[in-house]
Amino acid sequence: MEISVLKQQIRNKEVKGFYIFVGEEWAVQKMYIERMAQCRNLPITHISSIKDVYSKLVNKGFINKVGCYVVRDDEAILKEDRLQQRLDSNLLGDNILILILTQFDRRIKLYKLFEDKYIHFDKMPLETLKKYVKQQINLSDSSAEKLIRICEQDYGRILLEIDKIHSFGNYFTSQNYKDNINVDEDHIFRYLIETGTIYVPPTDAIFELVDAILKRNVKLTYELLQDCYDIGEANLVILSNLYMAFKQLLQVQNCDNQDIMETTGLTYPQVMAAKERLGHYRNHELIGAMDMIRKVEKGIKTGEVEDSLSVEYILANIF
Amino acid sequence: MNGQVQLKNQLNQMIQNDKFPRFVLLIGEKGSGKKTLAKELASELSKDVIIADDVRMSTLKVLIDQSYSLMSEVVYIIPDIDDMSLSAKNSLLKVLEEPPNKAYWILTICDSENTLPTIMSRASRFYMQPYSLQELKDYLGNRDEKVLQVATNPGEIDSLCMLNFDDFDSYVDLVIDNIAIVSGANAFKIGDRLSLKKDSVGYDLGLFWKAFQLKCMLKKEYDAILITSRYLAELGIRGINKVSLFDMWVLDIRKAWMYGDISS
Repeated sequence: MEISVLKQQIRNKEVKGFYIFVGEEWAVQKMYIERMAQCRNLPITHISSIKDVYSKLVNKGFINKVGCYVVRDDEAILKEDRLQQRLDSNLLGDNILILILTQFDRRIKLYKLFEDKYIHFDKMPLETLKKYVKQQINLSDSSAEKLIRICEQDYGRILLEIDKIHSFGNYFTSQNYKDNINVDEDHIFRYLIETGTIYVPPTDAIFELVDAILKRNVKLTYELLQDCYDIGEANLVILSNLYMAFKQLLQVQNCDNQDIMETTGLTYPQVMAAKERLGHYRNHELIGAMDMIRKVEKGIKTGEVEDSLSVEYILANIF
Repeated sequence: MNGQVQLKNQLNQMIQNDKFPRFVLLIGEKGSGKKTLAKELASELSKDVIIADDVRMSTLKVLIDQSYSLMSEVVYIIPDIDDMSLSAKNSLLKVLEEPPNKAYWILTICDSENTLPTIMSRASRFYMQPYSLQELKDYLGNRDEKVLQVATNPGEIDSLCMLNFDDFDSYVDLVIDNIAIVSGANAFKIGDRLSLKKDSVGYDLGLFWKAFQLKCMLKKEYDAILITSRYLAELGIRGINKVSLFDMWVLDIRKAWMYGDISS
């Protein structure tokens, strides 16, 4: 089922009794759950297991409470084989049951039985998120984009970080920030990143690592290498990126022509990146590094070189 | 099938004497007709044939398990095991050590370095023979004879006939004439017309290097032939990065032609 169909149902107050929400966009799912419950004037109850929902529905006490039950990532759901039977027997009545599955797997029985009840909550596109961010906080376009990128387009996380910016904003205002700098939201956002209060995941770790190596920044190189390992980057990917960077640097370094892009076939960002790295390696060192990377890569594929040591071996020889 | 007369006679004799091995490894360069020969052998054996076009572990496991429960004899043909993973190659050892009595296995490989020494030592190995000029002409038929300047086996004839040979030939000449003249910045662009990445369109690198060697032979540029041979040998390695291989070849050829240095 598409989200637009659900929106239509909410608008027309025709919300059905059973849905399966799929995806990690919890903040958006929560919004829809609230609206659906509001539609039928039902309280929302979060329950850990589908079995508890059954017992509530089956054991009718004096006060028959109707509600919107939300069950999130319950493994019992995946093994459930009588859900269809229970729904057919009108067990739900006027209640709403929403199952939330963070991971989507089309092989499971649940998908095969209830494919039409599945609603995917994928990450929202950049422009939509930017619009929502600017509704919540007065950030510039570039800061809003950076925030979205840092939060990996996770709307729930974006809302949390915006909350941090608001809280710090109130703090700075109340403390009469001593240097009397105009503490706008962009400034606070930058401050929170610098102090590590807003965590920036090392998504560009490989790019920064390659940059550090080509600028012969040994200390930073090993710090970023550790970051790359922490996020599980493969050694072959690192070597491949490093090789291309050395090659592009060699090309730009040896280009006498004004029109570097035309001569080398490189794109503008590649040329600019290479230009920033000029002057740290001589030609024969670049060629030597390229040859070494090639041989190590070949060694990994033939089993002669240990993959886990490959990048460090290259770095030891380059530096 | 054209050519391979001696090899075919040898294998047919084995079939007639009921001494055809259960596990055969056909070794030969790309395009030498290994798969064609395997199919012919299967036809001579008059058995059902199963050709495994993918060499993944999952497929191989199914075939191996199946081979132990056959009611009638089957010939399994597994082409190009160069691309097989190590775990898949290890799974073949079971078939080698305890061959199922109703299955024949015919595997083909380009480079014997790409398989386990244990498989090499236990399998019955047969090497594809070189093709004579007449055999190649017979295979070529009415197609453009110019391709015989480069092609040394039927597969290469087919590949070269599919492209505009004159364009390909001119391209190789262009590379030879300019590789040592263009600036260092420009040199890597030579590879733009080659198929160096998985999904890229262009001339096959192996064919290009062969054509390059043949033209260098005519110009007596023996250093270039030696350098190219080193790189051609690496082309068969499973998963080899052709981009970096080609880049290094460019740098080595330039070094040899500009400075007379042929060390790698």
